[in-house]
Amino acid sequence: MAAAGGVSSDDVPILQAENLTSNVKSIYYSRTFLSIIGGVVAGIWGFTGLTGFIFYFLIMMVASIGLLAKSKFSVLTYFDNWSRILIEGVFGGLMSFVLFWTSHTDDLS
Amino acid sequence: MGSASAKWASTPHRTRPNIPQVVQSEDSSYQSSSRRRPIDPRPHAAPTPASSLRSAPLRSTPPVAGRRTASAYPFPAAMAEELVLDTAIRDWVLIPLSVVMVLIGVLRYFVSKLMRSPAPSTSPDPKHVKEGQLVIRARNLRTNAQFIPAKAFKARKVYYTNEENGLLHVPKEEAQKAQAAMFSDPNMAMDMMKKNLSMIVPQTLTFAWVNFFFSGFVAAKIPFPLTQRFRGMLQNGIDLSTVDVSYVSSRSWYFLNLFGLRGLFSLILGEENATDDAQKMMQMGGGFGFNPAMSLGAEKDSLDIIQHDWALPKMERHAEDVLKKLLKK
Repeated sequence: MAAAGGVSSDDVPILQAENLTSNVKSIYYSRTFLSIIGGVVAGIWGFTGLTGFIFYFLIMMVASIGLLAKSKFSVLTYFDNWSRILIEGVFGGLMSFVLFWTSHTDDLS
Repeated sequence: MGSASAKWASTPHRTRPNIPQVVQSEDSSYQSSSRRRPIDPRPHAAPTPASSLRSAPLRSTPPVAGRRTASAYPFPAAMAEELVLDTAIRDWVLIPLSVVMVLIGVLRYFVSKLMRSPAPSTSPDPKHVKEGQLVIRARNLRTNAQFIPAKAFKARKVYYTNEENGLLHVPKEEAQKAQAAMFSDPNMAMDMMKKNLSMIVPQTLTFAWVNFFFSGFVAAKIPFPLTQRFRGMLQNGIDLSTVDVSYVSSRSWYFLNLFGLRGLFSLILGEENATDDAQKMMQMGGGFGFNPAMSLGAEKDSLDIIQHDWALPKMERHAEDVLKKLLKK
């Protein structure tokens, strides 16, 4: 991740659009990867019903924490706001998660 | 997974399924009903009592399905709702379908890469380049507006956006003309058509293939319960109202794959894969290449609404903060 810019004390945000885009993209990739792997794991462990979704959101929370650690706990240096690190790509990955969860539940039963 | 008790006569279990039979039988409910059975603790028991509890299509299980009525087993009604999917369905429907979808996605990516016309290498239209540069200049002004005084900003803004000869101002008739020219440009149309073809043709073919080979299967069971409203979506192709909604027909499995594999494609093919192209096209407002009149107008609007706020008066305080922070360290 490249620093997209720093936000100075009050109101002068300095952002570098290219770096921000690349950072957001890397978030998207890691989330997609995690949702696929998470779907496979949920299927293999035989989660059904709500447990699986809780598992998914747990994974996404862990991913958020990982991203936070990766950005050295200063999110605004790398992203324009907090929602990027918390919810970016979470719902896009849900479809992949459900697909791989379903297929691996069925493959192993 | 129980072994196949309600199979067609003399079809060996884990061998290649009899494709001609699958293809020829038109009645989808016939296939699906003969392919699934209730859970039975005894693997080779026949499901006769359970099937009599269910609806009409299920009772039409043909006589070729080898039933052994001797070992009839009384089922509770709730248990009759649970279905066990044959492992052969998994091996010959679920996995092939997914693999084919992935491979077709990869193939489509490379085909569209091949078909991409080498237009960017030819010298671009100077007018387009000029307009593109203009948009970039205006954007730079917008993002750095707070670093220049209000008067300077105003002067630049007028230079770009005034209604008489502002650079970003496009007269209405000219905008229409530009749009018309874009639509009549044969190269543009060709490009768009190629892109559309590389999207639509594989999808149509795959859908036809799925319909042809796998119509009417209950292919999978999604591991979470859903409400009745999802029946039309997930059990597309089988008309059974008694089956639980979480059972997915093969046609719906195709759709699930179509949407769910998008993430996988972006991982294995990199960012500019074929599915992303569709999104890009939509973002551009329905046209390949950028529409100069539209981007100029959008840039003008965003320049018009910007609130100018000069940063210099606050700079001293900001510098003080920074220095204090440095001293603390």
